[in-house]
Amino acid sequence: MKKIFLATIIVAFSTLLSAQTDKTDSTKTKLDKKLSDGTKEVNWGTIHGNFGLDAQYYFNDSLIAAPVVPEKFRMNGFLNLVYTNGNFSAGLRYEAYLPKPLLGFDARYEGQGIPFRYASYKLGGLEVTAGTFYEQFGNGLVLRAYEERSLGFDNFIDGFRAKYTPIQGITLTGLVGKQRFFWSWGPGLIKGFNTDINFADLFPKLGEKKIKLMVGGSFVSKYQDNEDIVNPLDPNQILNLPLNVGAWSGRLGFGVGRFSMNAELAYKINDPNRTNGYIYKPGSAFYFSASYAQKGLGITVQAKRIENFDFRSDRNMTGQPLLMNFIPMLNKQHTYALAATIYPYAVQTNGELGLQADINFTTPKWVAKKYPTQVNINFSMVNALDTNITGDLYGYRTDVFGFGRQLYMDANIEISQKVSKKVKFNLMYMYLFIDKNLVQGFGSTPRPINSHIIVADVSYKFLPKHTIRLEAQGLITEQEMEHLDDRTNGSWVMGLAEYTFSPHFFVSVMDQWNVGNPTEDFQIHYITGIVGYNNGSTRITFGYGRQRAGIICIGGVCRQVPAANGFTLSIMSSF
Amino acid sequence: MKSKIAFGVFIGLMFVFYGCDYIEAPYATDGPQGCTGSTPVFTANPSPVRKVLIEDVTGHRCGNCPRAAETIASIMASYPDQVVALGLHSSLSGSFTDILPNDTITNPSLKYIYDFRNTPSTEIDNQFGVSSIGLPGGMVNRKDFGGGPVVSYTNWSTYTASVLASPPDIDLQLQNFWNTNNDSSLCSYFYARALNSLSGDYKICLFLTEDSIVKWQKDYLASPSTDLQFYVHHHVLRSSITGTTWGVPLNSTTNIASGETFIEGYSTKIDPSLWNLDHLYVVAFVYNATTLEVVQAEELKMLP
Repeated sequence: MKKIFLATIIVAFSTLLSAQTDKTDSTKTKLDKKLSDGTKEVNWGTIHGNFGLDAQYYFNDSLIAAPVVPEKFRMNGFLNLVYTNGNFSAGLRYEAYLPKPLLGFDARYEGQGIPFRYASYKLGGLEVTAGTFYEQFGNGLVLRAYEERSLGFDNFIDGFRAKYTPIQGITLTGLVGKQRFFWSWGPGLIKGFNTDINFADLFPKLGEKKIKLMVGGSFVSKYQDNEDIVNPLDPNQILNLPLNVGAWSGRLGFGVGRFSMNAELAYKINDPNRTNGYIYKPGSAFYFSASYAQKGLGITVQAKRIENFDFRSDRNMTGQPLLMNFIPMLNKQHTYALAATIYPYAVQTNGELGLQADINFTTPKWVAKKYPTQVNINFSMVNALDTNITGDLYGYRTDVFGFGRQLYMDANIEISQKVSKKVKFNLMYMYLFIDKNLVQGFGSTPRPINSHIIVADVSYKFLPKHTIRLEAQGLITEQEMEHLDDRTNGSWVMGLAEYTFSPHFFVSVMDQWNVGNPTEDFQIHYITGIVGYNNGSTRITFGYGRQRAGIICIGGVCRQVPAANGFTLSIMSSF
Repeated sequence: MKSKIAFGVFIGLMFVFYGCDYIEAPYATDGPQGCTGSTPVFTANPSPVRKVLIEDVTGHRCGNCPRAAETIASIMASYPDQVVALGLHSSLSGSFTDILPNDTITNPSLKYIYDFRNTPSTEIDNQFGVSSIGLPGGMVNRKDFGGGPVVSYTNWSTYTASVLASPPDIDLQLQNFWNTNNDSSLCSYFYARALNSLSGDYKICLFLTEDSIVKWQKDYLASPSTDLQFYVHHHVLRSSITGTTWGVPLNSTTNIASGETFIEGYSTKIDPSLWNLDHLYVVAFVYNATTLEVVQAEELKMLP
């Protein structure tokens, strides 16, 4: 079977290439410029890239239970280089985690090398990439290879990809490869095919009428060798594993005037894996988003239903590595520290029902002529699926609209108001419910937490280029009193003072205080101070302080971070 | 233009056709079979010793392989009752393990027509890559001594001494019950008692081996002919009693506490016409499921 597939790929690629040969002469890239004396000026192409380094010097701090770092110093660093010349481009990324990754990043990144390298060229409507690449089909429900450096998340694909645009408005993408697994590759082979059709490009009259219509379809399959996995329900049996697991999705995007919507439905065949307890129930995912926008008003409503849709190129993997797909998060991505980092939501890839409504509006001129008020009201909730366990390897049965236990709810309002040319403020209130154990993976025993978060943020520009910003936050909860060994427990207060001398310098001091921790010894101040320098595309920050143990989530993908105490240095630059 | 689009769609359909394996119930098949009847009584060994597992990937047409077999015999003599050996005949060893035609026209002496190869041997070879390095070769406790787990037979003695220098982690014992139900089945019970706390996931394998199989063997040191008709093949791995090459999980929690004891029985059918029952042995070994390193091994003759 594999040979047939490979033969098909080779034939397909070669035919696509040969289909372009008649165009080669007419579209030949003019890399060299002819000078007036008849000689040619060679075009050497361009190189651009970016560089990042995060380093930390650690101190022992048993009070916050910071892990002891014998080597004291650790750093994560990278350099991206991209060379472009006409239709050709090539790139690489050097990464180093010396002597080990920073605390909180996966220890398997230890080492240094060039994991990311590729070459790509365009010929007519065809673009071919060999090597490593990132890719997303639709909303990412069946395939999303991406990097989120702050999470230590990187699941690029290493292989071949061809994108073909036969006519404006139609894009076909085919790919085959393996995923990054730290410094090697995962065991599964990924094959993917995607079609996107944009009718506004195909039929310009639709565009003239401001009508957008897009349809798309994707198919992704992974192959992994057979192995002996004992039936979790009967240790005397071995599972009959599907070696090829396929998933597909169809989507529709529609927009007219101020209204737009986007929906995607995906399905995955039986995929027994470690995250779902090796059950054989097929998976499904549905995502819907509709929005309306006009001057001074924006409304977005979103919904999703996810069932058994953790899709990886290794059936035995858990955590972040080797994820092939992405389930969008339907919760507000908060920026204020207590709202964003104490109880963040982690997407439940094997089952959840989520809703979100978000309204932005600006008060009309007749209310406040000079400085209108901006208001954001946001509500989101996520429930588990309502499941009936079958007791066999099928796993469970469920109603399409059956809501199970509540996992998360966030209702918040944020008001931004400019008072004068020098003063503006933000106020936020948020009610938050979370079942911490279920959502953040600490166990199956429910641990419901209700909390109220209030934030006040004032900026005062006391001189041109000189701004001072003060932030006060509070998180009030009484739900966690029985977890006496937890250093993230009970109520919190936080204060921040920041001074900015535009455009180059800033300095800030922050204190997060777990004032309501029922264990008196754990009523700890997490104080950090940072000075920073910006110049063009370079940003350097230097800080010292305590980092709280907890969980960091970006887009619903999370990682655990242990506590730390020490100096930090961060440099980001691009050219 | 239409043909180009159709061609693209055609490529996509290829993925549909080749990308899905639907599994209908039943989702699992019988693997290792448990034993019926009451569990036998085991007594903790008051002075357990560490034993080492030496796996010799070999072949009946591999002319240097008898040197590895001789090395094992020598090591066994040096450490009586502390060495458990497996002779692995893998399908990945090419002509070393291939058989010759069973006809007197092309193969007048009918040499090398007996097929020693089996699935567990091939899967172990595939995992460690012994054949791709070259025969004879193998592993001592599947331990990485610095250059990977596959080591030359010339180093087996040194590495065995190094392994046996440390005290045992597990008291491992076996009891075998043959044909108690008159159905040609072997029921083999293992007893594993942790002598100190162990962290991680551990697995146990129960294999069936046959000793003293007299068949052809190539030997470059033999004369006048390098093809020996009556060579005695030792410790030949025959099958897995636990049903799988990689055994069954020993512990369900992430750690094994000191003194924790595991007793379980597995049964397998044996065709007496294929193998010599008097020469069959049960080999058991416990290994770390992550590192694959063997921590204890044991061997017991199938018939008393």
